Amino acid sequence: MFKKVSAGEKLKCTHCGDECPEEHPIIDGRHFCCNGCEVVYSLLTENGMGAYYNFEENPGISRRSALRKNFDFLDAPDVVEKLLVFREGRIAKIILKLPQIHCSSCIWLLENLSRLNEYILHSRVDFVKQEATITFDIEGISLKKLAELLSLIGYEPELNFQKLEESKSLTRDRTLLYKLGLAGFSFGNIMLLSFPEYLGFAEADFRFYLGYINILLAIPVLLYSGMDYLRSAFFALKYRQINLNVPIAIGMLTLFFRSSYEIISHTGEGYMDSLAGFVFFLLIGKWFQQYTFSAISFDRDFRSYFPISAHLKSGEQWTTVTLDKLKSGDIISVRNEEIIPADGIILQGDARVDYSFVTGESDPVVKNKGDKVFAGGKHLGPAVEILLTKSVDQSYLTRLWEEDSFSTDKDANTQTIIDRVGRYFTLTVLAISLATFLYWSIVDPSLSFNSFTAVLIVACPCALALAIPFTYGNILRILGKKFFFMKSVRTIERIQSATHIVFDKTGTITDHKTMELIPVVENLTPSERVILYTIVSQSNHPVSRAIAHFLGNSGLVALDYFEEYPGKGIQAGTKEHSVKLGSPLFITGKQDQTHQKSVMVEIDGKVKAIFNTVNKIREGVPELIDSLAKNYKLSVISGDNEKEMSRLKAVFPAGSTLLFNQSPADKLQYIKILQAAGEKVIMIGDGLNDAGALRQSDAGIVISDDNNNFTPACDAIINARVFDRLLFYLTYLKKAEYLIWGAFVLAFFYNTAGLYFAVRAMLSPIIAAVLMPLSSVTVMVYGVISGYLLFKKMNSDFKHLNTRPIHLQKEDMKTNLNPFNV
Amino acid sequence: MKIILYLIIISITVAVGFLAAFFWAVKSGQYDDDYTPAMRILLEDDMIENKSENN
Repeated sequence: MFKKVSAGEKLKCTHCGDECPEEHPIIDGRHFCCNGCEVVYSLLTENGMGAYYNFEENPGISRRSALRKNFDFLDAPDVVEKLLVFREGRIAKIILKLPQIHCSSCIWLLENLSRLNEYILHSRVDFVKQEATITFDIEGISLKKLAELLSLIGYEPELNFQKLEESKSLTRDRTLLYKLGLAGFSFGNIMLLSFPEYLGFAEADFRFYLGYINILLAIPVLLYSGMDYLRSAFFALKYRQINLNVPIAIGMLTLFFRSSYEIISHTGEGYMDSLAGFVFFLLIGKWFQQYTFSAISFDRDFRSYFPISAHLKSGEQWTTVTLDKLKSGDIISVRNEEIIPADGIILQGDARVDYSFVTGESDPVVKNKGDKVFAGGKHLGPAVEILLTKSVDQSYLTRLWEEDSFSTDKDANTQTIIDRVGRYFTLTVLAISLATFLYWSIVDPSLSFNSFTAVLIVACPCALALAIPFTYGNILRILGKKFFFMKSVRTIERIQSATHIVFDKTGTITDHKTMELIPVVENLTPSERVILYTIVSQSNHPVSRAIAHFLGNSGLVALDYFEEYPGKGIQAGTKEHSVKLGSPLFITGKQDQTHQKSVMVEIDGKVKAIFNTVNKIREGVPELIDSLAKNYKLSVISGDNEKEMSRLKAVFPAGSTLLFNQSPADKLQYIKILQAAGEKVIMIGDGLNDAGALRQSDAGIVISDDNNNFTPACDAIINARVFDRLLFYLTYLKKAEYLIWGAFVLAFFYNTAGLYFAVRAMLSPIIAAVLMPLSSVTVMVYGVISGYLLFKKMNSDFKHLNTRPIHLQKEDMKTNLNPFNV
Repeated sequence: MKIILYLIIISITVAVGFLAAFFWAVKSGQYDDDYTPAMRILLEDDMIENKSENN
């Protein structure tokens, strides 16, 4: 049922909210932008699930440009077996990543899947992780059918080679929660039992019973909740190093043994409440710092870019096998838009291979029979047969993952401020405690033991240890709301020390979705410009828009006819002139190797203009580069050839290094060379070809056009829409170091106050019980508030960036992100 | 004052019960996803229409 709508009337698709084109399907008086959306609507309403459209407006995912993905590989039993988390008889369970989940309607639809197919028994959505756990009867609905059903309603499961190799264990690490719960429990109870003591109510015989209970409550805190700190300090000492965990462990042990001694010898009531509180606060800091962006993956390698399986020729038959089984000598078939899984030689057919993601080359290359192709390229065109010369792991691109950089743990090797401060701190504390001990040994030996341990107790750097988790943990959250996602708190410290920024070109500095024109020949008269402008403004093709932008508004004339040929060009004309524009093949009728990516304009049979099309430099990038150059050294390493050298030279200041024709391994090597010269490097890239450099660099930042894109392993991800705010974010992170020093000053203030009592042998349990939580809470509150205030201040310093609006996308709705407000 | 001691022991026993309940809750996965349940509660159970009504 199609209906024409008068021009000017803008209708939104009931399903996805996109604008409906002139001709569109209408059902039950509701409008749809395409047949795909209409099919989903019919399917849902027929199954009594029309309520899907009630809680949110236009909740669906546009089906207009959706490709019907082929899930044939899910018929292979070994693939199915590896993907399922559980199977018993007919009942199977799978966890699928559905990156399209974005609103409450999604949850409702996916949790009511059983309405659409009776063999789906149960489904449960984890909204933040964008995962659905589905239990189904595998003999009633195969995994392939399930994936097809999900794709049909707009949730195409993310299935890739990495998914196949991941461990399927369902249990996650919950130990921190157990430890935290236990410490909180003991803290509360010990505090309660010590209360009579604080107020001086307890009677002599009775208080010691309470003391024994306190010991019992404190033992699990020390041995279970606090074990990580003791262990870390032990290993540090074993390797003759001092980190902040050493004074923490000394403090904890001193607290425990002195308190036990006092209680058992009936000489005092001990400081068990301080011990439990201390561990409790430390664990809260740990928990706060461990914040992760569940929906974002920071450690993908090539395997998650590659498909699960390939079509292998065995004899005269074609079978589906998983990629790990492919070996050199196999013959496989690669279809349109599929990724070539391993290096090989084309046996049959012609391929156009898009290597932009793998090598950084921006133009697709034509490969004919007998030519070599490399793993990772995307094949465009009819299916080709390829004879493999390498296995998947041994291919040109994938061998990169054998480099050492991929096996070192960057976080573990980061020298943080706290490590440096911790060393001096520990030595100072030990010196003060010894001095106190010596002083009292001479003056009044009965107090020497008391004051010595008291110094070790109050000097325990609890507040100091909370400074980084709270201040940086909060910054991680603030920037996450502004589309800059960091993997861990340690990433912040590595970004702060950076001196050199290295950029990739294709996809990083340039945007592969928008075009710009460079005129090669241009002999258009003013009247011809008007006609051409009229024609291109009728079309939505990126090249047409680029031509319209190039001409500027030249006015409009009446067109006699207009015809657009998808993939070729446009033929149009007025009463007097006829115009053809499009690819050289479309205009001249022959393949032109030198002008592969150019557009020709022919007016009345004469070629009047030739434009080269290049990817546009991202909006705001020239200004960004300009301001970055004031603070950092800059380089560009591109896998592309030198044809855009002059364009980049105009953007980058003199003195920046521009390197072209760099292989993925060259890029990694370049970073190593910079690091050997003492530079701290931030690498900014987007593709698999940058994976080595991203990994080797001190902080690898990936630019991503939307949150669901493939991103190689990195330390941080920045959304392309806020790329021009990069300097703002980097400066913010750099200034955050002052916040840490501020927190240190606060912590030292409390430590000094405690020392004042301790050295005079006047530290009573109540003073310790007040000082410790007070200092910890002060530092926590300071850490959270100062991060917000600094951001607010910087936001007004960088006000000029706010003039360009950031378009919120559908998936941003769920977190209510607004990059302009704190 | 001895009665206080008994009370304390009872209160700690009860508290240990709550601690066990917390451990059980963590173990059964109640803390794994702290966001979706909050959205799920807003969805009504009776929103599924009967096929006949719809036609």
